[in-house]
Amino acid sequence: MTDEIPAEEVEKKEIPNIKLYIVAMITGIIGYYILLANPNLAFISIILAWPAIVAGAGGVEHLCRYGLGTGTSSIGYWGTAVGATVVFATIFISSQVFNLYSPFIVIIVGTIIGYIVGLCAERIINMKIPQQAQQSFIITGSAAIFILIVLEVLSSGGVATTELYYTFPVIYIGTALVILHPYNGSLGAGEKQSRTLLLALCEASLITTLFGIIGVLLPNAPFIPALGVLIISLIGLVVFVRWWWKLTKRDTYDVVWSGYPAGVEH
Amino acid sequence: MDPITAMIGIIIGGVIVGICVHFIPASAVGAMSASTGIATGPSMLSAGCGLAGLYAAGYSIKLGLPITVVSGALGSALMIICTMLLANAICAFGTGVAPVAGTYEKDPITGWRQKPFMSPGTDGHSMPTTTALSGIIGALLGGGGGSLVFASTYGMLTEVTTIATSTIITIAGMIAAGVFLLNCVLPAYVLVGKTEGMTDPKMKKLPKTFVSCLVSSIFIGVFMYAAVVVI
Repeated sequence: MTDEIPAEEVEKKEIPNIKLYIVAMITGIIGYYILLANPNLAFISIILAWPAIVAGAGGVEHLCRYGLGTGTSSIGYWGTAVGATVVFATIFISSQVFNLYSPFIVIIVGTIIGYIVGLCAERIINMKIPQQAQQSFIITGSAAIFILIVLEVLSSGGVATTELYYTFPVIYIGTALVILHPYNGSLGAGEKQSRTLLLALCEASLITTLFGIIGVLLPNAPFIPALGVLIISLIGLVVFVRWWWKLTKRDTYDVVWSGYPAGVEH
Repeated sequence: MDPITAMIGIIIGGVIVGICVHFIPASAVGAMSASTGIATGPSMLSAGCGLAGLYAAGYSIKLGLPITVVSGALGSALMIICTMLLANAICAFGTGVAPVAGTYEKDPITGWRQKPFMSPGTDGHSMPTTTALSGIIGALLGGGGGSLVFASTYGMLTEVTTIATSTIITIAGMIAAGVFLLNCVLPAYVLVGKTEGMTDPKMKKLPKTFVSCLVSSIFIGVFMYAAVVVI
């Protein structure tokens, strides 16, 4: 059995979620503008959207470690609900076309609503979770920017097609699942931020693979950008799963010393 | 529908959704028959019954606001009634425990004693009459509130935009589901994962839920109004 690492040291090694969030917002905005400039570069934008899922999963990890009183799934659905509602409402700001200001609108509004709800939980409901408001807005803002980029890839400028509206539930639930599941799938003995966030990357590439397939099959959706998203997501999935598998084996080695030793009566 | 009225409808609907969670008996440890309530988290159960209500409301959206709200409430109540019936059947005939509640000695409606039938070390199991009634009230509130948000969003979009009706129903449904999920997680923070419905002492914390859901619903409602109408 390996020596136990003190809790403070583990805390030090972890990347603060707010840093992940800032990185995700910057890459998300760059990705969105790349998409506006040339929709065929969607494969670059989708790579730049993955950090948003990582930041969101980090927020879920932080909040759920403290025992929320509600399930991990609830908090994931809640964060995505705020993000998705903000993005869906933003569609109507400029006649169903996302414009130059859309990423700033979704990030700012998503962040404000997430912060306000987190603040309500902190101040009115008196939850004892440190940084609850901050982590709440990390989840909502991340979900918002990710959904914005996915919708922009699938719509290629105009959101006004009825077929695209039918994909909203898939986008909604898919995003919620990839934000909530990395922590849900990794929790328990030996849960580490590195492995949880890498699982988030695996799942982000998996869900963008699905969106790529939807884009390829959807009538009126741009074919080339969707195909680019599909291919780059599949490559990403293979790379991240291999990487995650290495980390899983590393961490399994740490926690394998559990249960009864073989050959001993018990 | 006038956009301002629709915005107020979204806010009121959001608050009602928050309140409904307090009435629906749910408990994660109910999975082991260790506590009264349906075996899942309060927020997810409320979201489930609210979404069932939204489906019901979607079919009657063109018949006007009152029928949409009633339709949503009934759809939601039907879902929760079926869930409670099956949960009670599984507990009675599968696990072999009687429906009893931990928060009252005698059932206020039937007058049946509770404590003698409670397994040692548990807080009750499945749903006795009063708890089931509380669940139905909660589902009616939740379905009605969710449908009010749905109908208000639909009204606002039909008034201001020129999109096809089927498309508006889709997007209004998604926004209503979003508002529902947003508001049903806040009460779950108050309930800490377990409630027996209207007889639970945690009902005293209802004002906290009310204020927090009001604040968050105001922000969502105002943003909806600003995005669709003002900007």
